[in-house]
Amino acid sequence: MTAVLAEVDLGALVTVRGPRPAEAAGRLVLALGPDEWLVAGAGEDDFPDADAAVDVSAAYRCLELAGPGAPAVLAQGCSVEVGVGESAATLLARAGVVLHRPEEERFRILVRPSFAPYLRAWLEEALTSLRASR
Amino acid sequence: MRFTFAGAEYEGREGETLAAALVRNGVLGGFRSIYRGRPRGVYSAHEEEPNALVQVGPEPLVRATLVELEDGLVADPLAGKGRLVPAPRPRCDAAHARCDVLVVGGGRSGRAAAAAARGRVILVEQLGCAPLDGVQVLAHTTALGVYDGNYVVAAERGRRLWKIRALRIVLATGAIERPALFPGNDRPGVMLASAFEAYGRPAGATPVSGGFSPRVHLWSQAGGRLRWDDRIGAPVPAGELRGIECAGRLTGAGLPDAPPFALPDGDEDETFVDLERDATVADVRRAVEAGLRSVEHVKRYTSIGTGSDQGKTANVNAIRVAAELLGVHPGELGTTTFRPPYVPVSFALVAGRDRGELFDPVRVTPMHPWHVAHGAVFEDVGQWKRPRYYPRPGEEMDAAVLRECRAVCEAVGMQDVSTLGKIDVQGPDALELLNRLYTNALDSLEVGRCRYALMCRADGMVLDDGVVMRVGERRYLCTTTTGNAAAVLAWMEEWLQTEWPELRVRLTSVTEQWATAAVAGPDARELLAPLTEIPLDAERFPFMAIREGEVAGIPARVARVSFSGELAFEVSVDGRRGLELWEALAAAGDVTPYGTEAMHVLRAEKAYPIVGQDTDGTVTPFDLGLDWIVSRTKPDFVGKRSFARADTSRPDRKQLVALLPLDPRELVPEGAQLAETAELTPPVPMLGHVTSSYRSAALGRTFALALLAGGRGRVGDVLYAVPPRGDGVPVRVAEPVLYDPEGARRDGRPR
Repeated sequence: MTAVLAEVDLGALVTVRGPRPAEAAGRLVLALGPDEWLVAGAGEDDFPDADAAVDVSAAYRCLELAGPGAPAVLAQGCSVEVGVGESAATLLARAGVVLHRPEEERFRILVRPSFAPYLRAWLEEALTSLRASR
Repeated sequence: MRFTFAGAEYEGREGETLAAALVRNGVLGGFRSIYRGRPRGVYSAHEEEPNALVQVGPEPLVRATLVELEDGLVADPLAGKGRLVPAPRPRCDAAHARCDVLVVGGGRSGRAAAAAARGRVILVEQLGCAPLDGVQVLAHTTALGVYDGNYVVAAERGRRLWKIRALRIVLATGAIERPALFPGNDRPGVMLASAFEAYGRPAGATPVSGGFSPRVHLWSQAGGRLRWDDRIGAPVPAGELRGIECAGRLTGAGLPDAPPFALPDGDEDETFVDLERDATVADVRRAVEAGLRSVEHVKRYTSIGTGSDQGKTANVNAIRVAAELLGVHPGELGTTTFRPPYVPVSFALVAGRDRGELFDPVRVTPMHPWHVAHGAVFEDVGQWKRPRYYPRPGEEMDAAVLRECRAVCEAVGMQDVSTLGKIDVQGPDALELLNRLYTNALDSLEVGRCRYALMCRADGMVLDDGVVMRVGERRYLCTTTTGNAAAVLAWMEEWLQTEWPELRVRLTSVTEQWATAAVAGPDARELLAPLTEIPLDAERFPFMAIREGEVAGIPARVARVSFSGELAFEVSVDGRRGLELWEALAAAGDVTPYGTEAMHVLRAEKAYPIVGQDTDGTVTPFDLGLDWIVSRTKPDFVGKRSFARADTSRPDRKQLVALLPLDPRELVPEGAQLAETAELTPPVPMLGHVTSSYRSAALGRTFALALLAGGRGRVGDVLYAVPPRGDGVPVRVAEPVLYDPEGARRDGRPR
């Protein structure tokens, strides 16, 4: 079992607080908490009725882990299991992340830019360990 | 295959354990006991082994009964103690799992429970284990502990730590045979009857049995009660636990009746209760005769159960012997406490991947590549790497810091301050929340202005400081110290969510959304002016104002705040363009990059405290001389009530002062205690301590900040700063602000 790690660009990101924003065409809405959402491809002004909307486009980088071994790699450092189409704000290794699973064998890992080098190194080692143990 | 034990070579077989191979090769001894040096041999066939401890490569205290043989294995016997060999160890990993049913134990009842269970089922077995349809079988995996919420931690071959969350746990951990008590029950060749059978009735071996004790460890760890079962002569699980069941021999069912119990007929000092600890029936007798009545006390007196086997074969016998000597029923004595881990685990396993480079995340700012390229020396601030100073070729730290300070005082410098925490506060009640959390009154803060602000804990002690910027009608941006960013956000969320849920306000961390460069010094305007259309003169851009516009073609928020006392602008841009901003500033003129050390010196000359360096959780705003920042008119704020306590207004509280060494070249060490006299005759009353100490370019001398009892009333006094070693350094107490006390420099050069 293997998996491949890459960095992807999700474009503009906004943290929205309040009721779940509508999923407009192609716009990704990830649940971070009971009243907290991360919306891709939007700006602060798109949510006039929200309690708060904050541009966080520069506050995350997005890594993508894909392949049959991806769940096993994440299970090495994350206690949460994310279902297909779901997301969770959680810890992966020692970094806070937003985990999103668009497909069975594909995960997006949103991480603070300052933690990205650490998390990348951790994931690469987890991939090596996965290859060694199978 | 071949293996080596104690220097001799033997032939081994695939799938055997080291202990099994030794016994099959006729090695019934080969070991020694820890204190008495008595000859010993393999005693059991599982994890309860008290004798057959070996060193395998760098790994000490490995049980021969659990070592899977491999070709070329080299093992050496250990007499109860091993040695940690400094050698690189393979990195262990971890695996999280969730399941509906977790079965611990792969014996008959464990396999039956796993086969009957529905949903996702995991079975862990400490020895080898055949696969089972529809069940994830983890062989050579030992459950180490059961924690709250049916959370089980298990070790797979000592290499992988499993962290399993189960809706339901079935414990099928079986039972451990205990020794029969007779003189010489520890001699080589004497082994538990179960091991004698497991090893195929080896010639020359003597099987013994004192009955069976169920492995109640995990049940007891989980909070399960125990009751004494007279038939088997051991404790068994009693009562119920939510989500945890016991099955098979663990319950006592199917175990043979215990043989009648009697104290040994013969030398009690030759009759061993705990083989690993070399403790005998005579030791238990001594404990009881010394007046000890509790098994916990007997354990501590005799050390029974404190070996690396945690008394797996010993503890129940110790209870039975003590009960007999005390003339009570063993059930009245209870048991010692069962604690994880069930078997010893290596630190390497616990550490997993959190070692070396991955020990803790190293966080860097967008400008980091520039700092590296320009030879910065870094310091750790929390998880961040921050440039401490930028030495020129051949330049020492002191010289570099003086040069950087001089540049900020006389020309212009720039510092990467992106690591400061930033919290976006939005909503109709944003002002109300901030008024309750900060000590100052923020009502009069207008949009486009900012204010230095202080937070205290409920006890009135300083928690953090920063700048509160009003960026919109109902929107604020609060900065925090670098190391406290997460803690301050959590603190604000805690008050908001648990105490004031009625407030309509939302908090969002934007620390990494913004990269920030501080441009400081009398020539700051000259550096920035060509890069921006924002008017920079003091009339149109006054102190503590915020402006938005472009800097070097990048949308920016510029704040006129200063942590150096000099004219300064903090320029914040989208984090992804931080490096671009920094490079544009560096190319805009003759600007000196400065690090945290110069920043520390500059702020100390102005007596701006650093929370966590000049404060330690016992310091109030008044102790710091920051009376002006504590509102007297606000109805309440966190910490306010504590200022009415007698203790917070004691005149002899430690207060922030400056110290000037009488010899202006002498640098007192940070942490030095302050004493009244040069002569130190114990007991020496300690008047306070040095919190910060530097060489100042502006003052042309050394200086320090200190917390000194009744300090503000002692200005002019000479005291002695006493380092851990060496003589006290005479210092004169001074008003804390040493440089530009009128604040004339913050507007830059007069026009």
